[in-house]
Amino acid sequence: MDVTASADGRIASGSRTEREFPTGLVLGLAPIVLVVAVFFVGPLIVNALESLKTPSGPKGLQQYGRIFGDVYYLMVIGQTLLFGIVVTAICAVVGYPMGYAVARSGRQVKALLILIVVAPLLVNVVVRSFGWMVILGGAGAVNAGLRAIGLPKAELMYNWTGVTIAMVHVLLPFMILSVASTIETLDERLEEAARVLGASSTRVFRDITLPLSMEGVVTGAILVFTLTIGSFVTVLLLGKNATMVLPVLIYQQLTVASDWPFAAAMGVTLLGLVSGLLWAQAALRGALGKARP
Amino acid sequence: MNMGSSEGVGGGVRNANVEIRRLRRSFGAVDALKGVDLTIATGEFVALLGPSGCGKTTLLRCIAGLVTPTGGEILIDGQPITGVPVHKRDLGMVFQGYALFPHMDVGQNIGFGLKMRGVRGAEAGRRVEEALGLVQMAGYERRYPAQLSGGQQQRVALARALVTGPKALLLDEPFGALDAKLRESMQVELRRLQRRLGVTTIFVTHDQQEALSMADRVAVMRAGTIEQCDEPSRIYDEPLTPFVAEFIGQANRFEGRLADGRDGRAVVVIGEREDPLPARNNPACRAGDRIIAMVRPERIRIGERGGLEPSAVVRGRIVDKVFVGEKITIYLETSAGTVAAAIANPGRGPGAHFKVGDVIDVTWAADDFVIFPGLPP
Amino acid sequence: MRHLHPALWAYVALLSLFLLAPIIVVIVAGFTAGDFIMFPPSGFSLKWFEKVLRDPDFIRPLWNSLRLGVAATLVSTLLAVPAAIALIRGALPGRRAIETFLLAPLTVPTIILAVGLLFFAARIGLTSSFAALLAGHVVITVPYMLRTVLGVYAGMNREVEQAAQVLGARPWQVTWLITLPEIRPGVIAGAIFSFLMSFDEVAVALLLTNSDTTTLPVSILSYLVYNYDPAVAAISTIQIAIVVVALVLLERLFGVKNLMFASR
Repeated sequence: MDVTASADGRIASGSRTEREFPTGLVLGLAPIVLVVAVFFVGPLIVNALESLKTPSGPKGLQQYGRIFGDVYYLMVIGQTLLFGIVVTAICAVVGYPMGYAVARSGRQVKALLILIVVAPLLVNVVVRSFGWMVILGGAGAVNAGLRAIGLPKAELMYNWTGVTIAMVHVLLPFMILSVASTIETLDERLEEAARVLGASSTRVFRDITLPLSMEGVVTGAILVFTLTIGSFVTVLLLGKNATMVLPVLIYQQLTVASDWPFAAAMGVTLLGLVSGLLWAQAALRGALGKARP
Repeated sequence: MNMGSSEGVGGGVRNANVEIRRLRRSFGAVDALKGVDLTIATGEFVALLGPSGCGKTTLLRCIAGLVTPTGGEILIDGQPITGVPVHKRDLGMVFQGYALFPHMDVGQNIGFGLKMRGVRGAEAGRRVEEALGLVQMAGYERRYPAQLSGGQQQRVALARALVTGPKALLLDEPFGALDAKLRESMQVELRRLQRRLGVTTIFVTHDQQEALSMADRVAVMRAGTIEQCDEPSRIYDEPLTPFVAEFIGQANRFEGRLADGRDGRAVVVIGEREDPLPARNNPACRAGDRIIAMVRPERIRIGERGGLEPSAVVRGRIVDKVFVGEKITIYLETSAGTVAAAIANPGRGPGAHFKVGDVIDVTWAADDFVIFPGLPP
Repeated sequence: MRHLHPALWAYVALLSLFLLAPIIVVIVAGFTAGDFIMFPPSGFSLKWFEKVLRDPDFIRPLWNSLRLGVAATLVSTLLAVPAAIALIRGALPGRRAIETFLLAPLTVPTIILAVGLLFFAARIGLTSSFAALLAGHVVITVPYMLRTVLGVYAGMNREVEQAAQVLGARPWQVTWLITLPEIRPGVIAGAIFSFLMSFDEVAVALLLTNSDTTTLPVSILSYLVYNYDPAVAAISTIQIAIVVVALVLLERLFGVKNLMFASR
């Protein structure tokens, strides 16, 4: 925060008064920077190094060659990305109306809705996935209901359908909260002005609310996508081996095949995908920011 | 006004005089203060008055130590305080937003400064009680700021600033957030308190009414300098610059030239009027110079002749008549330019019958017509 | 409610059901009298709760999770609070960069962190499972804490700090007597969220725990691989109960309503 003279002459100089303790500054920042450097950057570096190991001895990119040279692994990567896109799209469409409702409801209803939206986050992801197993499984709630009305059993477990449903459930709160917080900051007077100018409710929504709330959707989408392609518990429990994604593959390579360098290389690949996405998003934001007046 | 020194409020304050010399403060390319000189005598109440961005708050914060000047010095009781950290300056300060500690009750808020000085227990309690009594908030020790109204919070802030017996009291637009009636009563209270305690006070405001009614002296600031520092009446009647004349009260402003005056009296030619008008002498203006001339609307008499000599008569046509309760302002188109004349609401007396379109004569005394050197072409 | 469409409310109700379904199902399934998981359950019984509460293979991990969560949150708080204060007061030129660096772990999938940490611990000879777990969980939770405290401190009215200074408080006194009490509610909200993050975490725990330090999610997970009975439902219900009770307690004590604030 720079010290500038604001328009009314008031100087936001609170920070300058603390020049007396630069040591305090260092003392405050050093521990956390150290911890993050050692226990976050360290592992990432070690991971990268590990991925360069080859069975024959000399370091090289052989592991990456294995990944990108094999159709199966490429397919897994593709599935992971596709899975991410599908889950994100569903979350965006399903979550948006809820986010709108949360942002625009009265105080008490809003508190209740937020509670409902946040409640799933309070429960362990393993437990949540387990809950879905109970609901979607062969002897589960859905099939019990289907049987009751004479319909055949639906195969919802151990396939992409069940996994997607469960994943959407896990990540929906993030999308809803992101949309809600953006819509909340939207000045309702803009919508009122549009109405006065003659726009119907639908047009107000389509031309005013929706475009202005897109930012919340995008933020939520980035978050949901990143979490989806990095998630492995839900897919593991609800898909077993039928639905293979990169994180589960990494886990398998690590524990079942004990192929550390290979697992490390896949980890770097996954990290690359996530980082690439974030970088693209930041670049897009920057470009859009310049486009706006 | 100097009540000597002892530790507490009521028993006297350790007030001091404050000297500001050639004070500068820049932020990059912006010069918030451009070499300010000001001396505030012990026990004096000085108002720093000016529009947004004039540097008055910066100046106050330099005195408090919250902003470090980039040049010049500040002395309290003859001792320079450059380099003395904020918490050692022994001043009292009241902020516009009150800045009461929300997690402490009133008693703890007021006692905070005492606690920092090692005064605790019964002694502290006594002084807190005394301070609350001074601001008419006795018995409020256990309340929390959130439970108080704006005016009450401001009083507590004042008590908190005074309880330690500071060398000077600094106030940064303290009444800005209060409504008009409350503001007026707080102004009166503050002035009374200040006179009683004799504490050196520096008060920042953008409201000229506030400054003129409370201060012993008013320092009118603009763009980082003090244009005039004088008693309120002199600021009003004898402004030194056009800015001061226009910022304080209302003024009719004309541009023209200083003509050769007979018997040493200044006469000015303004607007399209051919006959010159007598004005008050200003040694800074020489014959032939461009000048700015100003007269206050309330000094203009309508429809009179003679009276104060020398004066001149200006004829004009009424183009507007504005009723503001206690006065009426009449706007005239004259050969000199547009003239605004303010007269006390005449009720049914003379002046009440003037209508738009009437042609009337107005006059004003030469002594009320001040001139300043004009801007170069 | 303020010109919102009734169709929207129907949708909200439906979606709420969807959001709460697994939780309700799990809780209800734990009370079944039968021997298998089914929904709707057959009969009402507390036998599964009894079984679970007596089983050290569940109680031990529960205790481990609690311990780990509290420890990680504590460490994260101690790291994040001074850092946030230093960042905002110090007006450093590289502040943005430092913040981005410290918040980076938020963007990395935990499986990658877990794998990396596994290798790292092996490399530097860190044998204590709890220490490695703690390190991993601190790395995961500290960005949440930092982001929360930064938000709270940046939004605070800093005039009270200046007022304290003028009244004679030294910088450390200002921090201790004024700043910290002021930001406390926000810090607590962040701490609750951090605790939940740690309590819920699977990837790091899965890879770094041993039989002594197993956490609850891991033990449930491994149980599920071989078994599929209401015991899981019972222990899950207990876990939910703990979280709810803790939240209610904290709400009563500190009046912290805004979890939403921390989770953004």
